[in-house]
Amino acid sequence: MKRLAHKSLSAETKDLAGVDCVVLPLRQTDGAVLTARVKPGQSVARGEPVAGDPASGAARLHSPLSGEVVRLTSIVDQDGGSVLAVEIRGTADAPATTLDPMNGEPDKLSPEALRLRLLEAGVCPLGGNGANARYASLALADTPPDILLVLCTDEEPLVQTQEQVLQEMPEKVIEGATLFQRACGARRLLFAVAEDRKSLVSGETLLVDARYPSALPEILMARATGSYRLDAPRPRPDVLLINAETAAAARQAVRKGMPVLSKLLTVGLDDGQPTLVRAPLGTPLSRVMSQAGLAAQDGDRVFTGGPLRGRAQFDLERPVTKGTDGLFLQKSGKVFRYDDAACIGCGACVKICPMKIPVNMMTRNCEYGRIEEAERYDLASCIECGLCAHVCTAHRPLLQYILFAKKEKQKAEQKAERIEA
Amino acid sequence: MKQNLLTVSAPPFWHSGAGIARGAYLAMAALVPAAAAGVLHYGIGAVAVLCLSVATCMLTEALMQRVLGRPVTIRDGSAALTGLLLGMLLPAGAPWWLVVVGAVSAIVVGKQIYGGLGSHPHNATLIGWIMIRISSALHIDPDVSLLDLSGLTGLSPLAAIRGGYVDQVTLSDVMMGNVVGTIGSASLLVLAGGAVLALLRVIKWEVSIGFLVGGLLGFLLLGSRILPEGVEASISPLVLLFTGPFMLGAFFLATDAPSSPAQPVAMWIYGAGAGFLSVLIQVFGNYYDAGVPFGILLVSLTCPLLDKIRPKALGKE
Repeated sequence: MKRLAHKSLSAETKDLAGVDCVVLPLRQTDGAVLTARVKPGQSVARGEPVAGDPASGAARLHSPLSGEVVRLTSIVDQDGGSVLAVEIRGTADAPATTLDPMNGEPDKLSPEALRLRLLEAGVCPLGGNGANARYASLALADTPPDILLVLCTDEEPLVQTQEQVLQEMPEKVIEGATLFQRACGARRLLFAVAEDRKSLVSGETLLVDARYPSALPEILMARATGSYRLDAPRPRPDVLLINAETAAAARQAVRKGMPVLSKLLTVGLDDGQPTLVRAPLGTPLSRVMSQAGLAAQDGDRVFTGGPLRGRAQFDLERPVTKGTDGLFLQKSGKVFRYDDAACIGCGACVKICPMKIPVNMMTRNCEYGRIEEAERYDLASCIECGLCAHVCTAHRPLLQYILFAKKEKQKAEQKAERIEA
Repeated sequence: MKQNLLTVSAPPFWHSGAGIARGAYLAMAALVPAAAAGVLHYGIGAVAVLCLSVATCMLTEALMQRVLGRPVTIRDGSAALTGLLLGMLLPAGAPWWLVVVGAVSAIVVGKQIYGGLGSHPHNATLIGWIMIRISSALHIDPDVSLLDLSGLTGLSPLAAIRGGYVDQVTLSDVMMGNVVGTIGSASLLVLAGGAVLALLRVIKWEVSIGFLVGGLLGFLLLGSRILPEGVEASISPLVLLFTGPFMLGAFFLATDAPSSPAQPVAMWIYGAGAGFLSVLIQVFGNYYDAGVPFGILLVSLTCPLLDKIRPKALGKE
């Protein structure tokens, strides 16, 4: 059986050169929907903001190319909805327009100024499996959290992005984390780091096991604070979670005035040695794949994020966003097909569930949209790690059932709100 | 530009490799040594019973699924495993019609009428076995059906013990299946195969250990009561544990996935309860040879209740 452990790899980061067209969706990873500040035909410089409003708490989005805005277009986002995007043609060779560097010790800088700078430079949660609310948004942190937790390891097996950032620039991660702490006002700074990388960080650490799901945000936040608080709004008010890449980006934003223009991705076959590629934001996934020597055929599966809770892609012209940590190709022969089968009661899911949920009973109810019954079997405790489906003897798509039930619940709640209003 | 048609699905994109077929074929492989011992000991009749039982189960499953309009899944090995287990519970001299009736009952009444694999509340093998045990007690009794097999003398161990002939039963004989009994009498080989399955986590090992603990406890407390009154002898609980289908029960019958609990604590209680009840029936019951089947079947009725014993989920305030 396949072991689900994180394997460290030492590889060099390759820059993706020659990108001449990018598409920038106008939604940040923290969920903020932006308004375009550019018009078709307008010329933009590399590093010039195209959207975002730091004054109202929305991080900016910058053009990674020097060129011309081709058009505003609507693209399908990863959850099947649509989102407006800016298409830019140009070159990435030009030097970037930067902001003024901010010097001085972190505690001499004003938190407000730091926070504004981070938003101006487009620092919002990087990585973390795409757009989700697991990572904190700086914009939402109105009250200072107790802890700033910096994830210096990757959530899932295969993905190496965060470890690579820590490996390449530990000082920048530490300095960035300190600046971030100053900006958000957190009392404690905690680095979640793998045992063998512990020497790279200084300060308080939280050791992370290589075995999945030890590095999942919900589990780390619970370890840091002593409670899951799954009923509290997300992101959690008491602990702010960012990752190594976000910290490093914060450092570049403050000290160099450098906006976020690119994203580091782990790219590869899902059963091979991955490579690390730094791609301009908005680069089509197909472009990143060809750089890594990958070509998808009919029937293959391409997914962003990790193998346990990533997202399968149907269109390789979709862009790299600030949330894309991994990009993997699974050949059609390796594609595992889940079945519309009955539960045989083997109990494997119950045993492996890190949240001690009676998964067998819960998912039977989820499957048929019986939300109340599913909640009686602790649907609310599920952190969507995907282990239950991974071990299911009957090959039931358990995580799909769970996500379906959560979506149905959300829809029902929204409907109830509308009726009330 | 040509767009590739990619496979799209919800995560996860990896699977551990566990599967119904893997479990069933591993379980059958684990039964091979014990079945081979049965064949060596009882001769060609054992081959006939095992083959007929497996074939009938698979054929019945395919027919039922065809008739009921369900996908035909005999390739997953679960019907074949049911057949093999049923065969192991029968004596080599069982008449063909007995095997066929048992196998058809197991698949039809034990499994398919509930909706197929996963939906049945009982162990299908045991349903089939109990049907023929109750309706045709003589033909299923090794002491009767093996009479015409030359070279086998004496009583089946359980009958001998109940008659007070304790010295006829030795531990090595019951372990290796060197007795008048069912095809799966080589208990030590069953135990070995089962232990491998438990180590591979193919079966619910909690149930197996619980069953053995419950059984051992029962025999320690009540084992001597199995002897007729007035007999001055003692019987080792270990001999009783290796007698009859106790090991088959512990590793292959009680661990049946759909008819056993899914919660770890419930598995222990279920296993120990089934083991203990098997002892009670074997010691005090009229159907003393059916202690294990009845014990497991009755306790598996409580599984939905037992599964309510579960830990509090994390993150619940």
